[in-house]
Amino acid sequence: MNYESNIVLSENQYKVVGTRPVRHDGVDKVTGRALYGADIHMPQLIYGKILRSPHAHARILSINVDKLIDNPLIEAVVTCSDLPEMEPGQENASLKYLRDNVIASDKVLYKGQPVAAVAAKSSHDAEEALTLIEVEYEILNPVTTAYESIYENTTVIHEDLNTTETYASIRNPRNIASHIQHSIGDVYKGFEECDVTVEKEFHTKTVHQGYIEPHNATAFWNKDGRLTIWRSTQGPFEVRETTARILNIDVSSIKVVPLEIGGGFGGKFDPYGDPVAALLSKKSGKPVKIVMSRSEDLESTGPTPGSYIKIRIGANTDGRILAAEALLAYEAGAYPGSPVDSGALCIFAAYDIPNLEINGYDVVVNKPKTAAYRAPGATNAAFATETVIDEIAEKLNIDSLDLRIKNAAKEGTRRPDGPIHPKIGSLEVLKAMKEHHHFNTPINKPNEGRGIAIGYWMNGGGPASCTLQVNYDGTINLNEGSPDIGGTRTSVAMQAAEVLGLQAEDIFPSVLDTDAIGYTSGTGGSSVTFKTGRAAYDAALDLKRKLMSRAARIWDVDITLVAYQNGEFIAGIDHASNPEQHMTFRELAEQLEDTGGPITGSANTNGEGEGGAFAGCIVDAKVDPETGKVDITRFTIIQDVGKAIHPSYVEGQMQGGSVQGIGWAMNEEYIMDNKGHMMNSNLLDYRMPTSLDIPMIDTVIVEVPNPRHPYGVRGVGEVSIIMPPAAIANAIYQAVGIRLNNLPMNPETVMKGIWSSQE
Amino acid sequence: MPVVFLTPNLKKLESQPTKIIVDGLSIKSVIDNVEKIYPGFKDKLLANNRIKRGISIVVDGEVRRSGLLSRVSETSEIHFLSAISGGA
Repeated sequence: MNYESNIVLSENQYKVVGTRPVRHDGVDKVTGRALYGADIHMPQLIYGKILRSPHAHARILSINVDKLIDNPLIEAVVTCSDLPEMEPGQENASLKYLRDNVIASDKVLYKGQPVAAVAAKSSHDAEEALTLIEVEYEILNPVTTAYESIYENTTVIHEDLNTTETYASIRNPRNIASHIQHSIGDVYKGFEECDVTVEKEFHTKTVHQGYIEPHNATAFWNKDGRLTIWRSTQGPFEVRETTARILNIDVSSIKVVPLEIGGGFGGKFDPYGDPVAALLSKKSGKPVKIVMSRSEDLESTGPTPGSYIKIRIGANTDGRILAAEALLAYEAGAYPGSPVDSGALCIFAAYDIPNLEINGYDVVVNKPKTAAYRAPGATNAAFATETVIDEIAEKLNIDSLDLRIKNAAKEGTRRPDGPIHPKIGSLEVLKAMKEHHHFNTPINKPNEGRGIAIGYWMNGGGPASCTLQVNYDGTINLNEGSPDIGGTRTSVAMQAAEVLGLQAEDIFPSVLDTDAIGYTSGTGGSSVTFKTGRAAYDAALDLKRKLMSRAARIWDVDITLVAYQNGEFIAGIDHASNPEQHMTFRELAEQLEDTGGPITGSANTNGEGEGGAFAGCIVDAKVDPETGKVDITRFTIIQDVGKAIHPSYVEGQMQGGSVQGIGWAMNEEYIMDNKGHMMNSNLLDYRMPTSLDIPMIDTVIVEVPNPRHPYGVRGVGEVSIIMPPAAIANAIYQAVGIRLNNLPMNPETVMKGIWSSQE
Repeated sequence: MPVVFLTPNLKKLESQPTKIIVDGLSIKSVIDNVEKIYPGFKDKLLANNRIKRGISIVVDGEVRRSGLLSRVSETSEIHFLSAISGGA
């Protein structure tokens, strides 16, 4: 198929921004030279293994490590008693949760929770030694879903949780960690004015980020008290801070060295093996490496929550949505902290609804503590909203895209959580959807249907730091603190190159450790190209000023007479025709040593002004009514990115998020037995999509610039995962006439839907 | 004068309004002035004289990251919301 340019609305043209140079880390990664966590080796390195709970919910009565004492193969053993004493105080409730998730003290709250750890010269010796540790448990009843946890089961997971601000219908508020509420207008009056209302309940399952590289950490606690951690992480500074809290040491005592990341998607912010490896290192005096197996990773690190959502939306016959309400109960896992807050924000944020009420509950269950996963909480929410919107459009006999256009949030619309939307590209995305070849191609095959959905994600910013050093050959070393996911080294370098009139290849970006670069918040929230790009832009301006000053010194003119144009310094307009008053960037760089020494440009930013992202997708799905198998036959994503610094990486993010959304929709789930054990903790049975399961993901980049970034960047990493489950559910409805309210929509779910529609 | 939105989570009593207009050109002065009208407001937002972890300041639709020093204008809308963390 022939398509026109996949970038619409791009207004400003740049020399580097918007081009597609080869990524700086490409050669290392394709030749296997890039260093990941498991690649770390050093003198005296020993290996740590963790003993994990076999129970989903149990009280620890005793831990006996006597059989390991004086064992010559064992270098160190740790239990929770090796963590520092906690001071009494309220803040320590959250600290206890952090500590217990790393190594349990009084109770275990999920199968796979660490209980003790051993270090030995070989990983096999360490693993065998775990069998010699005796732990006595009192087994308790587990509860593994949010719905069960608050409506059906009276099991209490944490004695210290007791949320009282809840709906009367909730049976067990003891498992609710927090309640969030948003309200606009008068929802009761709004529903009274509606001609059509649709009310539905939705259940979604726990899903893992599915990064290729399991969690890892190598720690060395030196005799001088300095602790160094090498690991794969999205947030080296966050790991430093959390590890310092757990170990009760100063952040300045810890250096975190971020290595290449084999995927993170939000799952690589929290420390897991780091504090344990640190304690084993402190006891043994040697560096200790812990690398999780795939099963450990699935059972013990943070997935994204399963959820229960009850939603009602109403509209009048003109197609105006007048009222909406939602109850969201998200599984926090074993300890508080689900993304129900962002679910509650995003559930109606794509729309302009005058009356709404949203209640969100953070619910503890006996599963691993959840972590962020690409637009955390928003996919669950959009699955509910976007399928109900589809149903309302059908009842009103209005095209569902037209209904969305009529009710779309735009600049000036109040978000459900209160703030006003600044400039967003909602209408531009919807227009691009409506005009797209995919949307306008008829679909007439039996059992094949087309669905659409839209989504909003607010994106993030945060502190970031960047330094630029000029090499005497006219190239630049760029140092940043954002671990590279998705090619951010290059997108950051390109922004500096644009300011300096250089090529992207003239900049050599490096991600430094926490001792070597200023504080930089983690690679999350689609923030890096925005915030670290901004820091690089400001650092380049700083560098340019210093270089112009040096040129002025060489020419003995006032700096106000020096200009920098097209990669050349010029000594004022009057001298533009004089070749002796011109210098290329390289020519000036060659003279730095003789004219005052090296030059560094630097900048720090607080990363304010992030712009929200709006996106939509169009999906064609074919359903086999005999088996329930669903094939995605065509998929298009349209996304407002603000400005695509490197369009190939933007397309990659849009495609990657879409594929993860397809996996979430179709197959992925934690299958739990009645003991609270995950039954599919391997990648054969935890079924993520492969290239054989999906068509080429077509992308349309819409550019509505963020006015708070010099090039208009919004952030592109997350919003693409939000729409696929809803769009696929809508496509399945068009194909075979069944509305599915549960994820995943695997063959079993589809067949149950078909059979129940035939009853 | 700036308007402070009192979300359900920030209100102590159902009878409190959903927004309040107070003097102030910084988040610190705005919070101090709301506290005078609704004692206890400060405790919901501050710990050790800093904005609590997990709360984000939103001024005129934009997240501000300068804590109590964040500037506001005469016409600003101010929200105190759960800080959102992202995943990619």
